[in-house]
Amino acid sequence: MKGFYLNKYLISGFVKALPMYKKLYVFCLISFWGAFQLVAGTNTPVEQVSIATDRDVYVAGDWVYFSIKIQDAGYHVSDFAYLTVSNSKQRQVFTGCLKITNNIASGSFYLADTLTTGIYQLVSYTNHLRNYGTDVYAVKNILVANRFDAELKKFSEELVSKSTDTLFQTEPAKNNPDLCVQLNKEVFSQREPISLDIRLPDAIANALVSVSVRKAAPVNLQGRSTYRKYPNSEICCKYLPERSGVILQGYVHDVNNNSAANKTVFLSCEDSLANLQFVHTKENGEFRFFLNPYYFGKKVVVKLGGEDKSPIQIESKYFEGIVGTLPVQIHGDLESYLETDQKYLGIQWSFNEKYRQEYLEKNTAKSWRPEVYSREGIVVRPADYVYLNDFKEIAHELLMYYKIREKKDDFVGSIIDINQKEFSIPYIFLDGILLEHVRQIIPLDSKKIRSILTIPNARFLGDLNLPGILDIATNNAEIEKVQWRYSVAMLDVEHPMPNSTYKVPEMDKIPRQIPVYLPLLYWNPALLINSGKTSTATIFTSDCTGTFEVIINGFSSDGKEIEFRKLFEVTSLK
Amino acid sequence: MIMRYLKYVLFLIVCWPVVFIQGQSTIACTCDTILDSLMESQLAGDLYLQLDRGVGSQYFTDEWLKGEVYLSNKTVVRNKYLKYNQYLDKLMWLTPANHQQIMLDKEPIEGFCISNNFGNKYYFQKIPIKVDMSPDSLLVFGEVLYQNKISLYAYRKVILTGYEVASTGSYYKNIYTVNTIYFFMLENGRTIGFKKYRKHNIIQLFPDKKDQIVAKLKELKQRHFRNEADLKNITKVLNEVL
Repeated sequence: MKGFYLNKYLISGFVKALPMYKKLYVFCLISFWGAFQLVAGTNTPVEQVSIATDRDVYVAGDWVYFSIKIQDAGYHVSDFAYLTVSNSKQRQVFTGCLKITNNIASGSFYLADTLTTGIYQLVSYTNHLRNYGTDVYAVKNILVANRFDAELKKFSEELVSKSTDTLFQTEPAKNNPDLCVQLNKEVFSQREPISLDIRLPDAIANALVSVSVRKAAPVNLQGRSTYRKYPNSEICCKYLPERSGVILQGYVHDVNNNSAANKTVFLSCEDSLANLQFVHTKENGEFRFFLNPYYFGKKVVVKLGGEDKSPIQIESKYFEGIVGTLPVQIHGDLESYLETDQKYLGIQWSFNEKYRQEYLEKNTAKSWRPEVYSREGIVVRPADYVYLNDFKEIAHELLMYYKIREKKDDFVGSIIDINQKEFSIPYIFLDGILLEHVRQIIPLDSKKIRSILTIPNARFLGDLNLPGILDIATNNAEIEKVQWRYSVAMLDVEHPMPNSTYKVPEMDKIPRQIPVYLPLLYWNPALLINSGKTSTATIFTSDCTGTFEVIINGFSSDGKEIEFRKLFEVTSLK
Repeated sequence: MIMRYLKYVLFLIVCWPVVFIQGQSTIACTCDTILDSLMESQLAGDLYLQLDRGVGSQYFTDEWLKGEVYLSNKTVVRNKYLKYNQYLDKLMWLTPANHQQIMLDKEPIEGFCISNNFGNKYYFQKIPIKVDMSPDSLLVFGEVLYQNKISLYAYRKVILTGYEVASTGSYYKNIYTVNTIYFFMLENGRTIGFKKYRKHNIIQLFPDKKDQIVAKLKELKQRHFRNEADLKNITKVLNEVL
């Protein structure tokens, strides 16, 4: 229909002209279309991350205990979470990778006493959540005061003036009406036992929460612990979920900075045996490697095949910057609070009492070495023979199938394939890492080499043809001294952070003459409360007096966010 | 008139779950598929050049069949063209890119499964067997015939039984014959091998349960042991009795 355009008059006219049964049909169609759009438009939340810390205010030199909770509605999405801590100038002060076990990852990090006074931001996310941007990251702001900062007074004054700004209007924690939290008393004296009961109503199957009992700070730091709605993302697979291992992702660009497609990228790590993974770059030059727990704590080398000078760029997983702003609301004397807190820490340090407990979790993840060969080759140990100056001599005297010759001020090494009777250039591995050329091993003499393994026949690793293998193990990690001529990227694959927890002091066993000025009385990063059951914790007040608070944060099994705050007083002994 | 409305309403009611499922699928992403392929291990082995063409086959199936390889790192490599060489007791893989025949390393393989064109699946598992005169046990690929507390495996070894002058008369051709040995694997991982189907021989392997086994076989009217199906039946009986 020429000149036809859809407007509301046309639609209403069109509908009016229809007979009754067709109107009903159109109505139903529209309503179903609407329902379809509603379902299609709302992203199913694949996972949500929330972060909680033991306190909101710290003194530089103290430990921060945190818990990261993952809610994935029963889907097992990610096994690893990331944490970055940045200052207000968007500079990272701490980064860490955490293993998620039973939807929780917890740990602690040290606040270096060189940190300046200010607000710091903890940002947590999984690799998969990076697809959706910072909107879905969990954010928590903390205040760190430095004991030696001369401008502490100025800083607290600045904060007080800022907090009057309407922009920083923050709401106090909303208590979840369903959660029942009871203390045996409202007012306690120093070193007195507290019985903390948390009960979940019958309607909720269970809840995973973190519980903190701490000195109430006169500050309200707004942070977004979680984000409920996912923005639409068409590229949800740019960053894959990490299960059983982590993903190393990067790009290869050619010398003109264009994406280099279909290049073979190799990855090997420092080990006593040759190991290799390879992938081909995609259209945009992107490549990915899956790193199982075998790689944790090892040095990894990523290189291109042949004499390729295209630069390799490895993508960092750690978020740099600040999410949103750093709002703060002061509702008391922050300066005196910080000064007292600093004194407490000073006293605790003098007595060198440690309340942090680190424990290693049993590693249940599968770990395997991607071996290049699994059968025994021809092994030579140069130490068993007369001393030889360099690898050229070693090859000449000791290696039956491998020969090195000099050509145009360089070296060429070739191996004879015993099946095909052809010479070809083998893959050379030094301390497990794939090298680019035989020239890299020429300086190695008999004393440096522990063993040389030769496989003089063509092998296949997937669809990669290895015309022969030379695997050299050294006595003293000679790979670290090797010179690289072509593009190579080296990195250390970090171990997930160890699990650590706050050890609640047993006050009844500590003599009175030893001061225990702990603003943190209890920290449980992951407490699973079952429906209708009461979880009880027995804790003690310390020598600190004033107002304390019980803070409970987490998720219930039906996906509701749980937030609870209860105050109580600790007075000095008369 | 009512019927006319009703058919539209019914049509839409029928469509409702379809719309719902369709709506959900639009937001599903392919991350899992990409991740699975990224996590898949690479098969490794030596290039194999088969020169010996004798009488009788060295292979379990002469055709390249699609199958899965179960690796010791607990990963599964799927959808590969495989052939089991019973003479070498090695699994062969046909590379998709250049159609090279690769003799896969035995150490990282725990087992494999090949499916023929009729949908029949053959499972093989690495089992330890005791070889005469050898102090150590040997790991071989045994075909899984029955799996339970007591499992039954068939080690279908191809052996060289002789030579035959080729029709040209210029060379000898090897004669290969299949020699199957059956193994019971007990719960503790110990294997008991036997070559013949005789009831007496099998019962002798479990002397302390002899009466119960005989009674059970009598009850099931299992008198003869002529083929592998009968062997599977006796393994079932053993699982019930032991």
